[in-house]
Amino acid sequence: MTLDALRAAHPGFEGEVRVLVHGGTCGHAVGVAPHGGFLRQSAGDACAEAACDGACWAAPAATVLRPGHSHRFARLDETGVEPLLTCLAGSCDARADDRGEREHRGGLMSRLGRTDGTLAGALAAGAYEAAARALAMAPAEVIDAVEAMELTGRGGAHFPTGQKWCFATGGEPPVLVVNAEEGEPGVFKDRHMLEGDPHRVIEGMLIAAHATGATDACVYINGQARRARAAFEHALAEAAEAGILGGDALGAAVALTIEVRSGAGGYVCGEETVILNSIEGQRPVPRFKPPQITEAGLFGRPTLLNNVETLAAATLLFDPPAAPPKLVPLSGAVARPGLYEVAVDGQATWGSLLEAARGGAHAPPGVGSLLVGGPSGVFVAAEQFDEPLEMAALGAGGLVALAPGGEANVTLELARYNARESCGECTPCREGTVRLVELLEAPSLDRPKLDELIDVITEASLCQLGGMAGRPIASALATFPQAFSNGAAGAAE
Amino acid sequence: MAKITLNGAEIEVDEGRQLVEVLKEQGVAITNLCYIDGLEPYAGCRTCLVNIEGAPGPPGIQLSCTSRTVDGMTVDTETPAVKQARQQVISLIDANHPDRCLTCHRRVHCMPGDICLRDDVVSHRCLTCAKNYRCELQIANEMLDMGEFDEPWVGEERSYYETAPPEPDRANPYLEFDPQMCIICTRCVRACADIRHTDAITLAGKGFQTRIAFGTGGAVHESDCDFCGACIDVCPTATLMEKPNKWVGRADEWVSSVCNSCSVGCTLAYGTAGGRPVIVRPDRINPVSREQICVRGRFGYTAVPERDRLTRSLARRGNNLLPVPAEEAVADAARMLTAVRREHGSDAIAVLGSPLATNEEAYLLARLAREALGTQHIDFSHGAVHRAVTAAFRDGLGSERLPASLTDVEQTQTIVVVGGDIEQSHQVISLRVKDAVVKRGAKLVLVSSRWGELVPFATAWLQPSPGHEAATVQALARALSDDPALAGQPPAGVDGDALATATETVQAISSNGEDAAGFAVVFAPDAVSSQRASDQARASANLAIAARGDEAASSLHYLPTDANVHGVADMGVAPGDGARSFAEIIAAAQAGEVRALVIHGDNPLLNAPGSDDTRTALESLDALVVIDSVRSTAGEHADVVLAELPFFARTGTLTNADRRVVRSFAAAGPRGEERPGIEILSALANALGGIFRYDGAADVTADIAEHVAGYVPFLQVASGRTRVLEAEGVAGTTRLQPVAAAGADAEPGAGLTVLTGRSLFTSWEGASIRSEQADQLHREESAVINPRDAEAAGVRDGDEIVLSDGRHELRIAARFDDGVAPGSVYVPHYYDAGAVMALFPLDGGTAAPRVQVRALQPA
Ligand SMILES: Cc1cc2nc3c(=O)[nH]c(=O)nc-3n(C[C@H](O)[C@H](O)[C@H](O)COP(=O)(O)O)c2cc1C
Ligand code: SF4
Ligand code: SF4
Ligand code: SF4
Ligand code: SF4
Ligand code: SF4
Ligand code: FES
Repeated sequence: MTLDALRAAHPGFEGEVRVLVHGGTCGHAVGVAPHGGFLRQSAGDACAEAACDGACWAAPAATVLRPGHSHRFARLDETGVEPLLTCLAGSCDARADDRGEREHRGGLMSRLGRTDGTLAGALAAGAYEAAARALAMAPAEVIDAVEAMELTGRGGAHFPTGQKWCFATGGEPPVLVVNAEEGEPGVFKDRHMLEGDPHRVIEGMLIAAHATGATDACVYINGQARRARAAFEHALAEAAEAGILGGDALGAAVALTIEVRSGAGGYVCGEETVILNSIEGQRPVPRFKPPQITEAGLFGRPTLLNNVETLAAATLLFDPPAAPPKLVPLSGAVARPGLYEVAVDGQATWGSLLEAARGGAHAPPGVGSLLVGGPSGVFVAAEQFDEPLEMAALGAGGLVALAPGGEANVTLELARYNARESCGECTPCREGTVRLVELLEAPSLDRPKLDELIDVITEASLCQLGGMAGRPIASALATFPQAFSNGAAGAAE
Repeated sequence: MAKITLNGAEIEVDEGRQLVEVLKEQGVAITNLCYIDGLEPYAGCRTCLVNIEGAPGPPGIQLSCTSRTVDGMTVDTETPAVKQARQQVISLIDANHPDRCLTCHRRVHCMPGDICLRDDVVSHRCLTCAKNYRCELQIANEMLDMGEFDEPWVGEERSYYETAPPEPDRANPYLEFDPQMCIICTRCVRACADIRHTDAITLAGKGFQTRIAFGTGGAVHESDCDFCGACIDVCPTATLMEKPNKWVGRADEWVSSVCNSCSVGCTLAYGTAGGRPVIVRPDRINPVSREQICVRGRFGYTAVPERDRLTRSLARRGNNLLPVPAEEAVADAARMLTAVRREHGSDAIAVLGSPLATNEEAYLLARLAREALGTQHIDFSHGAVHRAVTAAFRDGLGSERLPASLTDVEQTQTIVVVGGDIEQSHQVISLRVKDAVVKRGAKLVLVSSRWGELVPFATAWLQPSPGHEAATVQALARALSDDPALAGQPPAGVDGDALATATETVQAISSNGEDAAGFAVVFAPDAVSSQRASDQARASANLAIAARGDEAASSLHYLPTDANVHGVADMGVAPGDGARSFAEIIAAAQAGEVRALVIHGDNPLLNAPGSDDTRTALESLDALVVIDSVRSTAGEHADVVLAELPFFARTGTLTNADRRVVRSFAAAGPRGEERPGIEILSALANALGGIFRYDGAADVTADIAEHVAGYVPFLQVASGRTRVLEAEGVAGTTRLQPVAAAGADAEPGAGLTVLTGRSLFTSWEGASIRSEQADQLHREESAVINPRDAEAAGVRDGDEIVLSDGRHELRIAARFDDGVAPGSVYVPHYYDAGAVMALFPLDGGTAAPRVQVRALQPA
């Protein structure tokens, strides 16, 4: 079969106008359902449920798609559905909001929450084009292409993906493990991708499997991300039914079996070796390296482990955007928290990113600093907002905008978080993270002790939870020394 | 080989070894609180940091437990940066440990209760800890000069007990668990899981709340723990310690000894203080047991409280046994024995030895019988069982001295275990079987009518009706050979699917393979009936022959019930031609033909079937002389009891299951008038007119070496390596033998078959009287009955029941467990001083006895 034939076999919705009600975790959390019900009555078949398109702030929301016109109606609870019905009737001439009008084709988020959630909808929007092309190429060429686009690991460590795929080839075929744990607070990009464009993830997996020879895969989804899991499993079933998985619907025989697993959850459960232990039914604690998991990972087999976004981004390999895209979940003291796609082109700055999220009249009094990378992250002070974004500095991408003056309190909370999430396997992190909290809670800050403690935890911990637990503290101390003059606890009061 | 530079010196080491082990071998002081030699590293404690250059991985400070030696690597363990990194890590451990003595330079000056430099009174911390001066964590602190290092994370004002410490678990008699001392190194977890395959310990909680938990978090004795103590051996702190000796187990000296509670003969190191044993550690000498032992080896010496030991000899004065001086007791004994001999002839005298005695004692006992008393009537209570087995081996394999070595078991690919529950009877062999299954993927076929801990490791468990074990093994042999000698009926009770799996498993072995690694039969005979033991031995030999042809003898492992069965038999504790066996001695005593009996270290009332007969026999004797270390029930009938030292205080050799001679040195001196068996036996023989002149055990061993084939002088015994085998091999003379058909199954209503066995928790001495420790565990107090049978008899779980065979009634609580085959009931041998043995006929019988079961009527 060819892709065209596949499309023909899945014609999908044929009308001109569509109403997409944004469900997803964000939409359902704020009660989109009654609005959706109402719209279905009004618009009939033209109305479908889609996932969140990244504009979490807008929920409950719905988007009207007409040829040449794409218009998101935000906060239906506040505005009611009247304006939307007007638009639907074809008499909308208002300039749609920025997001609604942007041309999405080509980007990572192009289909996110903008299809009706069916395979047909995804195919119509370009899904599996890249996979079909990749399957027709030699695996080594695919790896070359991924190397050429300079894709790096979006789980946060930004290890070059092409190189990782290369390590995984050569010996026994690897098992592909997809990291969809996303336990880090403030990060919700992978969930959005699984809910809003699961076929892109499957497509990325097909490309990775073809490049490395993997024939089985396991997707490890956070146990609390039930919608993401349901959406992904639905997509898997559709893909299998259509002959994309286990058939030759993409023009070449595909022999990839995909299993979905969930664990108990927790920050450290996103660390790659913890995932392997968890899938194996062992205690969820890290393994020491070497051996690298590309040599001996899941059940001792060579293992290729990638983040959801990494694989999603791999689908762009034939048409790489000029600047590498990064999904940035932004939350905190901004008017428009949500998922943003940033072109890391050397021009974009923290400030420009914030600008997009500030959103006109909703703009809060100000953002004092940004926390980049959550409990393993660093603070970016307002003075640094003009500095250009760098891919590696973004980590997994989670940004939390903080109102001025909250830094010491946040630092203490992060320290508590790390102490709580420590798995307890290694001494420095198990014993040291609670001492960090103690030192931060003390009425006056003992800098020499704190520095020494951060040093030993950073140097001697087994995994990067401990290895980076001191990072936000060191960053806060360097960036806002005055905030700690009375210790973190003192400042918090 | 790899050349590495270690602290500036170039050395040659094996390539690819775990660096931390190399460092320790080189005598480098390296802290390594979570590493267990020989296991995969855990890499959790982070105290083994060293500086490594020239190896794969980034140069700099790295763990030595996860690093492997490579040619050209440079390792520095003492640079200031390395030392500081290790100090910092340890300081974090110390901060959460009742530890401040560790970091105090004044520690050696303080005593518990002193006013401390920085606290009120020294009331916790190392000085008052049971592990003080023998603690790995403490040593680690000393290695790193933590006394010169301040306590960076804990203020002086802070006392350790920020929160109430977790409660210690002192509820069982063996293992004390004090979680406040734990540093979460997880060595115990891994020892229990990876070394013992028991998995009794897990980690609970996470982060700072991580805790060691037994089973599902309850008391130790409610978990699967069987108190082997492997976790105690590896615990670097005072968290897991032996309960009986927790506060006294600080040894001045170590003595190499042997456990005599089963025929594995694990070598033990007794730590002694003030001339008494205060602690036991495995002694690596025996290549079968190496660093592992079981609860009996570790705690056997404490099973009998010192106050219950016999420290003085006793003689009957009127109706009472009263303490008398040792010489007087010996003289009394000699006088009475001489009188019987004079009046009734020496045929009226018989001697019973002990399969737990040393070779030297057995040799002297045999000489005493034959030379000083002039009798050939000498045996031990399990003698007939052993002789049935050895006869079977001679018939089938041409010799009873089989070359099979138990060190091979853990390497074997296919293992058939025949017998009861060897986890309970011969635990370290059970462990080696598990090793083979877990580490080498070996296939295990288990033939046992009762569930045991090996079942979960088995590819197939064949659960015959009691008495059909031999027929079951025979069926397996038939799967390998169509020799008519193997013909027989399908075994009763065995599940068809299990049999099919087992058959496939044995058929898959490379028959007549060249190496012993292919196949092993491990066989522990029925301990009561010589007839059944004979059938089982013949069937086991057949299976080995069917599998390995002329090499069969190298693949058949016989586990005698008791420690020195081979040795005492070799030494001549066996009836001479035409002389009386144990059962015949008892019958003759009942008939008044045997009038005097000498018993050394055995209690036939507990150990032998037909205890009613034995009791009347003992009562009707003119003279009963008992030599023992405890006051046993048999001793109550004696005219003279000679106080012997306990086994751990005697020196001598044992010949264990695979005929390894192991040396045991006395770990204690005499108290009261206890004397070594050798001295007592010599004195008695001399008082009877013999001329026994032995200067200690080694002197006897020299005599043995001269007179018993295969034995060597004491100093030439390479303990655990010297084996007593045929001078020539035994290959090439195998013969398949028919096995008697098992008795037809009784009709329904004929009652339940009685099974019994020795449990894990009673060492020999403990069993021979009463073990306080075993009693505290309450594991020997109920009969195990299949719920199906119980319901048919109207019995509920926990009910008091009565087992009756028409002549005897045995009252015991019922415990439901479908691990016993339907139609049978298991009564622990230990229960009520061996009460179950009264249900068996004196000669052990052919078919197991049957009993009716009923619930005790409410009074
Ligand atoms: C404490 C900790 C938490 C992590 N959590 C995640 C996570 O939630 N999702 C993720 O993809 N990677 C996470 N990582 C990184 C993974 O270990 C791994 O580097 C990544 O999944 C590799 O995929 P990539 O190369 O595609 O980025 C975490 C790492 C650490 C140390
Ligand atoms: S650093 Fe923390 S989370 Fe990582 S292994 Fe150590 S204790 Fe566990
Ligand atoms: S366990 Fe060791 S370090 Fe801890 S208090 Fe006891 S002796 Fe001291
Ligand atoms: S004593 Fe033995 S069985 Fe019990 S927990 Fe320790 S290692 Fe496990
Ligand atoms: S009990 Fe002992 S061996 Fe087990 S984790 Fe604690 S300190 Fe380590
Ligand atoms: S009873 Fe047997 S297995 Fe246990 S320690 Fe003694 S000799 Fe070893
Ligand atoms: S011994 Fe190396 S980390 Fe514990």
